[in-house]
Amino acid sequence: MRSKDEILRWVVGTLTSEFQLRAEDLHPGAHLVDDLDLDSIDAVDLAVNVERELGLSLTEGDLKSLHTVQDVVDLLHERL
Amino acid sequence: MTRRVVVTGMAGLCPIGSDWKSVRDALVAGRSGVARVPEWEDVAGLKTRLGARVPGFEVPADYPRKKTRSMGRVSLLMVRSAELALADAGLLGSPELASGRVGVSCGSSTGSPPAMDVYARQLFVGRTTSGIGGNEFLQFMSHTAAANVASFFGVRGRLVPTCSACTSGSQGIGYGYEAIKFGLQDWMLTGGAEEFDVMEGAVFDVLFAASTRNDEPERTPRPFDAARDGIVVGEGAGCLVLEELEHARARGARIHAEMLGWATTCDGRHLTQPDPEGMEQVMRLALEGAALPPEAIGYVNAHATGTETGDIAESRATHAVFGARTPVSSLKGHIGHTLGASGALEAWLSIEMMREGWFAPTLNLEAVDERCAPLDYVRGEQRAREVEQVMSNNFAFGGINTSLIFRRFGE
Repeated sequence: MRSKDEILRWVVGTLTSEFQLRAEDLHPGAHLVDDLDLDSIDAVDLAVNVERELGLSLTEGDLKSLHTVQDVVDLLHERL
Repeated sequence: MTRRVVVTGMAGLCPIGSDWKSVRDALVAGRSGVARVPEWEDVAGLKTRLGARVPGFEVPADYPRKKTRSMGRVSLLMVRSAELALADAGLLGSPELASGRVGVSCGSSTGSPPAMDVYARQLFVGRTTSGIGGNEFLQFMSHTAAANVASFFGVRGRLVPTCSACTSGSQGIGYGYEAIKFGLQDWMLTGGAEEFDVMEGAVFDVLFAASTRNDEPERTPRPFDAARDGIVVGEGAGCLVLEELEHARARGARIHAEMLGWATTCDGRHLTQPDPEGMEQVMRLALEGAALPPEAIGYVNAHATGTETGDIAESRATHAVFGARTPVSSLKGHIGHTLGASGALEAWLSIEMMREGWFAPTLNLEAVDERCAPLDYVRGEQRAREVEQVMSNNFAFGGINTSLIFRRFGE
């Protein structure tokens, strides 16, 4: 079990390094599509990163349930 | 009623430079872009260790991630050359890009090999989709160069992917020309690109068509030379902005040259063995389309890659059309064989040389192979010559032949 803070750090680190987003924009309520301009292709690439680095496979349903940075953190916290 | 087509933008990235001035200096100095490739040393069976890369290419910092994520190096090179050509034409950011009257016609031999590698390892070897992201296919699909150019610049007209190996670039120009000539588009981004990768080296190596003069990279390839021993693969991208003449005049565009015609044919026989009859025929058809006799061509830019059979066949075909009276050279001694980019780069450089009134020699051509026809080979040093028309020829696996004709622009 990882803490939510650890997971948030991983999410922020991944979104900044892999998706060239700015850390200051990645507050928990930031909307993945409306605020961060991510799209369906980015969702697939996020899932690849999650699987490679955290060993967790996400389903299409999982990805569709993610709307904010906090949603990503919560899902990963629940599964890990 | 057909329309006249002119070249209003030109640019290229190649192993000896990424602007005309740098390339010109290297052509005049006899400087080669070929080097040894140390990272190929571990490939079992691979005999060639030579390549010609675009030095110092970096993705411009202002290219947005959502545009570059779908690009392998082949698309990045193509997009950058298109950006430079658009800027040269004064059309960067033009609202006409989205009008439906402007299109893209370009290609490469293949999409980006490193993206193929992900699929090969995971799916074919590992039998899993794990690790495959959303962009790999977009980077290696056959029309990745053309599609990424359209996406990057917001082009909404025709998309013509000309993925035909070594004629990808020349067919890109040719089909773009036709779209304008017949009134279907007003201007087109045309050309081709290729990305340097061991896969390209291996393609020719397994056919015993790659040069193995590994300890003398600056002395190979040697088009038409008796001691030639094959191709050196290279990379690059070239783009011509082709535009309908009246459209160009109306906006006061600087016109580099007029494209008078082209032809493309295929041999319909063998996929790798060159066919001199097909080569001769495509040159004659291009002349016919441009309504010119052979003597109107003042310079022929040969495909001549440095292979034994290809150079002989091409020289004989060229001789059948032009005899020994027309200067001929190949730029592959300087830049290697840039495959999908070669037709576009060679068209660009042929136009630049015509504008300046001189033509580069074939680098490394010291003693012409006796089996090659007795052409007027430009060798040793550049040839000063004022000419009105040039021809640029390319030939590809698949038995594909192309011949492009450009004229110095005048009213």
